[in-house]
Order: sequence, then C-alpha cells, then structure tokens
Amino acid sequence: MLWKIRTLVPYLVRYRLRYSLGLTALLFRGLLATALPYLLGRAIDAVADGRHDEAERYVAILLACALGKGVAQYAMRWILITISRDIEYDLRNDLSAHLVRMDRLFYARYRIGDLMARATNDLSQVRSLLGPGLMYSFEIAVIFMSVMTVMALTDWVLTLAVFAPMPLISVAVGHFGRRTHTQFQKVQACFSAISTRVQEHLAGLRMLRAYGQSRQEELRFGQSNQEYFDQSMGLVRIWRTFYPLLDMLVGFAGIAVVGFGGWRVLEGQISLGTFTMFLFFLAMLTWPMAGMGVVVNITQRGVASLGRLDELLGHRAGIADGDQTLYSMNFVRGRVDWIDVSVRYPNSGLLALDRVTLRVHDGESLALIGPVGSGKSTLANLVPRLLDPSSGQVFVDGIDVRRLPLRVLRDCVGHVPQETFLFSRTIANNIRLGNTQATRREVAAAAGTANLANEGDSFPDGLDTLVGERGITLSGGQRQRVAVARAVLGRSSILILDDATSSLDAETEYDLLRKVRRDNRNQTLIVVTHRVSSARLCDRIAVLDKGAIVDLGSHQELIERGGLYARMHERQRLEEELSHR
Amino acid sequence: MSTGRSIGREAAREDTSSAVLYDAALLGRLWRYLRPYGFHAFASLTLLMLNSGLGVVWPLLTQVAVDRYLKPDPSVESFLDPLLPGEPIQGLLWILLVYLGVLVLSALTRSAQIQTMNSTGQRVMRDIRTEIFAHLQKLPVRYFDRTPSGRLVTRTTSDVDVLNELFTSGLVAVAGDILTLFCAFGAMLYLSPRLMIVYLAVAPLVLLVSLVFRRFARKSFRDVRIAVAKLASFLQECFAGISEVQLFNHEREALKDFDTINAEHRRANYRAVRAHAVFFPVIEWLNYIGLALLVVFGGGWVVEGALSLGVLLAFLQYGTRVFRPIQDLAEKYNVLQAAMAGAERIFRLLDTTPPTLAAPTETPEEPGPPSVEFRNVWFAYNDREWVLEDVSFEVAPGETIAVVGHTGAGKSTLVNLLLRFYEIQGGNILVGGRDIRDWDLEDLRAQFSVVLQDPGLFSGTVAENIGLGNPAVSPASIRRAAALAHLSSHIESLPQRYEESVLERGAGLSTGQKQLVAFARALVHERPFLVLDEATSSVDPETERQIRDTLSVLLTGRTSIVIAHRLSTIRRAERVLVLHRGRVEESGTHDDLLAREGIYARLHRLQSLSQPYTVP
Repeated sequence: MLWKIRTLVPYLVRYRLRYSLGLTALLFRGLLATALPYLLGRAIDAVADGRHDEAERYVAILLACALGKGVAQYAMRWILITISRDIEYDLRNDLSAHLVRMDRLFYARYRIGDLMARATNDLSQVRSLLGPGLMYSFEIAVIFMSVMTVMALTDWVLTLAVFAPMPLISVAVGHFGRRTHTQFQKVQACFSAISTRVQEHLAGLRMLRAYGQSRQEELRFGQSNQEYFDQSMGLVRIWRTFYPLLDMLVGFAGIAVVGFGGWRVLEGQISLGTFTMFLFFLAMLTWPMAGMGVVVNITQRGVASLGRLDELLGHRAGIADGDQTLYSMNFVRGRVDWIDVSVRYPNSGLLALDRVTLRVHDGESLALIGPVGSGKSTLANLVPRLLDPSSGQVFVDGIDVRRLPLRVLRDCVGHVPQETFLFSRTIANNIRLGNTQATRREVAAAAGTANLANEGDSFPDGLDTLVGERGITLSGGQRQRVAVARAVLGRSSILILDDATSSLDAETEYDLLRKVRRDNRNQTLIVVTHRVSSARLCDRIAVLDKGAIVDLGSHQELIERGGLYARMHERQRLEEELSHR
Repeated sequence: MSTGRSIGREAAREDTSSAVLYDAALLGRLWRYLRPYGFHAFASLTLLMLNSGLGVVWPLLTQVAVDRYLKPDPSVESFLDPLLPGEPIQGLLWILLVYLGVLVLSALTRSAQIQTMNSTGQRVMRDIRTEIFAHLQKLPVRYFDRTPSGRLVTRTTSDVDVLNELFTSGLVAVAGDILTLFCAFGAMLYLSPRLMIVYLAVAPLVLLVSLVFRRFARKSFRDVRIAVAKLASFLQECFAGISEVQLFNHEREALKDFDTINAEHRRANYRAVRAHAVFFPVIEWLNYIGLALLVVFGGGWVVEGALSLGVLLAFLQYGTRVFRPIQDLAEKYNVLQAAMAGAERIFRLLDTTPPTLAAPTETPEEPGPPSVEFRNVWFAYNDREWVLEDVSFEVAPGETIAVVGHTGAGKSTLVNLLLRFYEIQGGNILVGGRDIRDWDLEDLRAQFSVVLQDPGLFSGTVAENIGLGNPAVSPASIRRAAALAHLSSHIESLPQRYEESVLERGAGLSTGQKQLVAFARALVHERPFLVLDEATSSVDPETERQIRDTLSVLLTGRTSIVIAHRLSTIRRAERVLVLHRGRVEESGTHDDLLAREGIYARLHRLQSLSQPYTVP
C-alpha cells in the first residue's frame, strides 16, 4: 500500500506543517464530539434527579463544547481539503510539465483522450484520496477510539455488548465489498461493450443502411443494452442484501443498549444518564460504521488512479538533453550530414530508412522526393530530433544532434509538418509562436511571404481573426500558409518544409517556395515534397524509394538519367494537363 | 472547446428565473418514461414511506422503555400499555422483540425498496437508450457527417447513466429525506406538541443557513465546472499541438498559461471548500442549540412533572435525526443539476427531427426489369459547390458499367445518391424504371448488394459479419458464399471457424481478406443490383487474383455499377463511364475510349505509370 503511493510522499512532506495542523484540529473535533453525548448524559441525570440548575450548567458547557467542535471542524475541513486541492494543483502542473517534454513515441502510444482522462478524472480521484479519503479515515479512527475509551471507562460490560456486532459488520463489509468490486467490473465491461456497439454502428453506417440493417442493429444493440441492464441489476442484487443487512447489524447494537443497558439500569448498576449517553454514542457511531465502506471505496479508486498517473510519470523522454550535451553551444549555421542512418519502425520492425548517407551544405536547398512510404519525411524529421535514428548519426555543423542542447537545436531548425496544428488564438498570435518577440510589422511581413491574408482569404479581421470554433475555420491551404509564415518568422538557420504546402495548388506552392527562398538566401532549405514542380526549384534533389536514396542530382541531371524521377515528372505533367482541360 | 462553451451555457441557465419552470418541463418529460413502470414506482414510493415510518419507531420505543420501566412515570400513557407486561425485565424483552420485528421489517422494506427503485431506474435507462439508438436509425446520413461520433456515443452511454443518478440518488433520496422529516415531525407532534414548538424555534435559522449555502454552493459549483472545462480544453489543445509546442521551444510559455488556468481551478474549488467547511459546522451547532433548548425547557418541565423523561429522551433522539436529511438536501442539489444537464442533452438529440422525405407520386410506376437510369441529376453536399452537374446515363438489366475518374470527380457520390443516402437537388434517378422517390426506402435498398471501400467489419463472429445476422440467411449459404470468395480455407483454419470473433474494425484479418468478407456479404444477400466501390489498397498478387475471381462471380447476372480502380475490373465492364468534374465526359468500351485519345486514354496512361509503385 505504502509502496503504491510513493509518488505522493514528497507532496505529503511538502505540506507536513499544515497536515499536522489539520490533524490536530481533527483530533480536537473528535474529542469534543465525544464530550457532547457525555455532557448530555450528565444533564439527563441531573434532570432525572430534579436538579435543573445543574442540568443548565451542563447544557452551557455543552454549547461551548459544540461551538469549539464547530470551530475545530471548520479548521479541519478547510485545512485538510485545501491541502488536497494544493497537491492536486502541484501534481497537475508537474504532470503537464512532464507530458510537455515527452517525445513522439509517447504520443503515438497514448491517445489524447486517454491522457486527458488521466490528467482530469484520475487526478481528481487521487485528490479525493488525499482529501476526503485521508480526512475521513482519520476521523473514523479518532471517533472510534475516543468513543470506545469513554464508553469503556463508563461501563465496559455494556461497551462489549455494543461492539459485539462489530466483527460481523467487518466481515459483511469485506465480503460484499469484494462482490461489489467484481460485479462493478462486469458492469464496466458491459458499458464499454455498449459504447463499442454504438461506435461501430456509426463507423459502418452506410454499409449497414445499404443492407437495411436498422432492425438487426437495433436487436443487437438491444442485446448489449439488456446485458448492461442485467449486470447492473446484479449490482442491485448485492446492494439489496448488503445495505439492509448493515442496517440490521447496526440495529443489533441498539438492542444491546436498550436490552442490556436497560437491565443494568434496573439493577442499579448504571444511571439513566449513562443509558442516554450510550444511546447517543450509538447514533454517533452509525456514520463511521457506514462510512468505512465509503473510505475503502475512495481509497481503492484513488490508488488505482495513482497507478495510472505513475505509469505516465514513469516514462522517460527518449529525446532529451543528456550527459554529453554541449551546453556551451548556442547557435548552429546549417550544414547537415546524415551518416549511415537507419530507422526502424517500433512496431513492425521494418526499416523506414536503410543506411542513408547524405549531406546538405550550408545555405543549400535540397528536395527530398519519392513515393508514399519511401522514408523522405523520416529523413527530415531526424534533423530537429523528432525522432532519433536506430543506427548511424545525424550531424549539424559537424556536431551530433544528440549532443546539441534541444532548445538550441529547435531554435535553429524550423520545421513545418504537413498536418499543422493551430491554437485557438488569432492568426497573428499563431504566427508569433515562431518568434514571440516579433513586432507586428515582422509578423505581417512573414504573412506576406507565405501569401497569407491577401484578398483571397477574406479574414474578417485580417491577421487578428480568431482561429477555431469561435473564430473562423481555416481551409487546409490556409492552415499550411499560417504554418509557413510561423516558420519564416523564426528565421532559423535550417528550414524544413515537410510536405508543408501539399494543400496548395502547384502554382501557389511554387510561388511561395520562391518567396521563402528569396527572403532568406543564407538559410539551408530542405523541402519534402511529392511534386516535381516544387522539387525542381531546389539546388539538388534526392530521390528516395523504399528507405534508400536511389538518385541524387539537379532536376536536369535526373530527367536526363530517366529513372523514377523522370517517370514521376511525366506522370505529373499528364495530371497537370488533365486538370487544365 | 465545445464542452467549455456548453457547460458555460448550462451553468448560465441555472441562474435564469425561468430555470425552475424549465426544470419542471424536463421532469415532466422524464415522467413519461416512468409511467410504464408506474406500479413499480408506486410500490417503491410506498416502501420508502413504510421504511421512513419504521425509522422513527426506535425513539418511540425507548420512550416507552424509560417511562414504563426504567423510570416509571404513571402520568404517561401509551397505546402499547395494555399489551405490555408489568414486570420490567419481561417488559424490556417485549420491547426488544417489537424492535427486532421493526428491524426485520425495516430491512425487508429497504431491500424491496432498493430492488423496485433500481429496477425501475434501470428499466427507464434501458428504454431511453433503446429510444436514442432507434432515433439514430431515423436520422439521415447527412446528420452523421456533421456530428462527431464520440458525442453520439456519449449521449447513448454516460449521459443516460447520469440520468440514472437523478432517479436513484437524486429524486428518490430527496423524497426519502422529506418523508423522514415528516415522520419525525409527526412522532414529535404525537409525543408533545409543546416541546416540538420549542425545538422548531431553530428551524427558521436552519432554513436560512441552508438557503445561503445553496446560493454559495451553486455559484461555486458553477465556477468549478467552468474551470474544469477550461482545464480540459487547454490540455486537449496542448496535447494535440504538442509537436508545435516542442518545435518552437514553447514548453515554458505553455506551462505558464496552464498554471494560470490550474490556479483558477484551485481558486474555484477553494470557494466550494469554504462553503462546505462553514455550512456543516454551523448546521451542527444549530442542531446542538436545538438539543440544548430541549434539555433546558423540557428538563424544566420534567422537573415540574409536566413532561416525562422518556418523551424528552425521544425528542433528543429525533433532534439528531432531523438534521441529516436537511444536510443531504443541500448536498443533493449539485447532483440534480448535473442530471438535468444530461437530460437536456439527451432530449436535444431526440428532438432532432429527421427531414421528411419527398412525397411519392400518386400512382408510381410498377418496377420493371432491373435497370438504372440517371436523368439530368444535379447534386451538391453544400449549397454552392455542385458535385454532380446534369449527369445522365443508363445501365441496362444485367449490364456492368465501370465508373472511372480522378479523385473528387464525384464517383462515390453516385453510390450515395443511388442508395438515397442524400436527396438530389435536380433531375431523376430511376431504378427498375421507377423514380427512387416512389420506392419505399427499405425496398429500394433491398435491391442492392453493396461493397464499399471500407469493408465495414464489426466485432461479432465471422458468420455474423457475412450474414449480418439476417434470419433469411442460412449457415449453409454463408459457407457457400465464403467458398466463392476464397475465404473458406482461411476460416476453416480458425479455432472456432465461422464462430470465430472478428475484433473491432476487423483486426486480425488482412486488408485483402476484409475485402473478401465484404464480397461474401454481397454474395450471400442475393439481390438484383450490385454497387461496388472498389478499394484502392494494394494487396499481394495471390489475394489480387482471388479478388478478381470473386468479382467475376459477383458481376454475373447482376446489374452492376462499379467504381473501378483496377484495370482488370474496367476490362470486365461492358461500358466505361468517365466522370470528370461532376460531368460524364466520355462513355464507351475500354478499347473505344483508348482509341479516342481523350481523358480516359490519359487516365489509363497515368494508371500504368503509377502501377509500378502500387501493384507489383
């Protein structure tokens, strides 16, 4: 158990002072709460003996104690629950700081929905464990112990009788707790089954409608629905025994008080006030007895959720600075060497790149072209370390990229992917991501280079138009141009356009690439593309097929050589002709 | 983002003055689902009343025990007196026996109440789920184009579960609390009206505190929900854009922004914590003031002999019981609000009305032999952009035509229109000589065997995936179809053969095998027409040959429209239709069209040029 919550220990230690304050308040609350039935009992004794003044004195003390209890209770709740909120806050910040540094492999493994669920639902389960879970368990322990002590001191025989049903209660809680757990898992499985049914139905909607499957699908859904119903009722069958049984067992304690306690009153061994006191203690104990189930539930769920968070926190980013990092480096110019580089897909074990060696000179422009799956994007992604090669090395300015500080490397390498993500801010602020210090004029210039926000785009507020649900939805081409503007603004030494302009028509793409090149002549430019028209703009073209470079040279050279590139050229010329008809 | 907004809207709703009326309308609608189980609901409520009644018996029994035996008070008479023996020990035993009976009865009623209440709730949930799913069947394909499937899944699952909370921990618990309150008041009134008035002196204060708390709790609850939504949408965006965040060294800024939202979330929760931390102690203190009043006034009357000690004791016990329901009621408010929001979302989906289909002609043509005709068809998915412009062509009974063209030329649209997934904006489509708008929708679709690009496999057995659970399809015919589709040897090698389950989205089958399953499905459903949108994915040469073979079986004797990507398929067709930018540009046999040196000839050359990479 303790091992399972080891992650929380530093946080618990951090708030040790407030925890001890809160627990002190809890202790006070418990003790004062125990005093109340005692005082009531004494007051009843006084009333029974006809001493009304004494009874009023007891009542005055009782009210004072109740007030003190109230204050302690307020302090307890406020301190202990806010600590749990503070730890939740810390934990959530730490978790996101961790996640933000994770690499692509991690994000390929975990779906966004899953990560979200962990960062919200699971975290709040852990919060419940730290807040109410911890508070209630201490509260129950304190009340049990203090009540038991006072009861035993007053009349230990009666106390034994009252607590006689306790073993039975704990057996019942244990037994039904386990059954609930098992049944609950079945219910959850059925719940997933229903979700999957609906999901699949929606995915295959057209086929199902074409075959007129509505009725069968309703039947199938009905089955899952019925199963869910049946399993849920299984849970109800457990409850309908468990809860009444629990009530009854607690009721037996009441029988003990009235029967055994009444007998002792008649025998003159205890006063009527003590009898009353026991009645009230019994009422006080009802909640802790029922509350144990709640606490166990909170704890189990909290620990399970913490396990899911630990799983995330246990991942180390494969791509990060290390011992070998040359922190003195703060700039690179732009020569890139791939030496004998191979990349293996993690799942299939197939080679995406097979011992590729290639050089781009400082300030040179290079196109990577080839069919789908030829490895051209993979080759480009190695430069900003979106992934590391399985074997071989990548050098920038003759230094292994793995030894460059990641921050410096990414400052100096601009990378625009095919699918770009825009944040729900203004277009200008999306561009400014490339350089947060940029002036408005610089942003506008970058937008100009990327052919953005001209008349054709009709943004209602120009560059200040909001992107996303509340703003406008950008077309694929517009998104890509925002991404290019963003990268242009960064004025990095190396710019990689990874199929970044595929949604633009060939003419616009050509125009845009020319502008990018013209605006920053010293920049090393790597263009991953499937269009010959764009590739021909570059100084050199590397043709890839099945993870290897099959040809390298200028457009003219490659056409003359008549290989794969020439065939692509011919094909695209034909397509061009077709679409211009 | 969208969740953030809708939560904001729902939260705002709670503040409007019409919210109460609105909630009443929602409850009224929910009541309609409850009505079929009226008896169950009534039984549950009766049992709840019985249980609440039994719950207040205990203090009454202690009163009798004290006044009759423990501190005999002759002035007090109880309805139990004639039944009880005079001897104290025996009397106590009698009382305990009665209490034991009460305990057993109370356990039985509670058990029955849990059973009836939950089975009613679960049945209602089951019905609502069924209704939602049936409603989805009625909505047009267009609706699903616009609505994310995740949202619809949530409507059918978690939202309905939240509604269950409304029944079980919400309404019923509230009813139970109120009943307990009334029973306790009734018992107090029976024992001593005077003392009850003393005790109720604190009631206005309790009410006031509860109202103030509800105000604060509602506001903080709303703030928390908005903060949670903000947190979620920020994280969503951050994870989705993680590459951008990392590539532009934006981690620190992102974390700083996150910290702001995270702190806001914490602040909102602080307020909620404070509201609770104040409310509970105050209510409990008021409780003790009430008890103190009882001891001071009641105790005085006891000393004067105007009240029995047993009655005072009973009052003290009621005094601790009355407050629990009041606390509960204040807390239940949040649960109810969340459930109402869920109900609102569900009803909004159920209120989406399917568009009425164009009325059929008074006297429709009797369908003739299986032919298809498109007559000057115009169609656009969006208002302005025509996907099909004035398309006309005919397919004679038994004929196979291949449709070719660039991506986005409108080929798949032909299939969508033929099966009437969408309504055309102009022209006519005739199936068997009868306008498709004159066909009953189900009858129309029952004319077609369909193979779409996505084979549409679902989790179920292999047999179910082929026969679609159709009662008219025999296991033998499934086996025959599988054999024709070259699937039988593979299926026979599976441990459970035809009963082997296919995992979600067909995992466990190769791409080619999935296509063959879709073919087998088309074969088993023997229908006069075949519509085939050929999959573009490349497969190994052996599977390629199997697909080709199965296709020829499929095409034989059926009127077929094939959106073709494979040259072999095109060659099999009697006629080729070249679709270009939403228009039929060329049509004729493969050889005719090649000779014409038009679009088709170019497409063909393009195809052969790209062949080396896609088909080995």
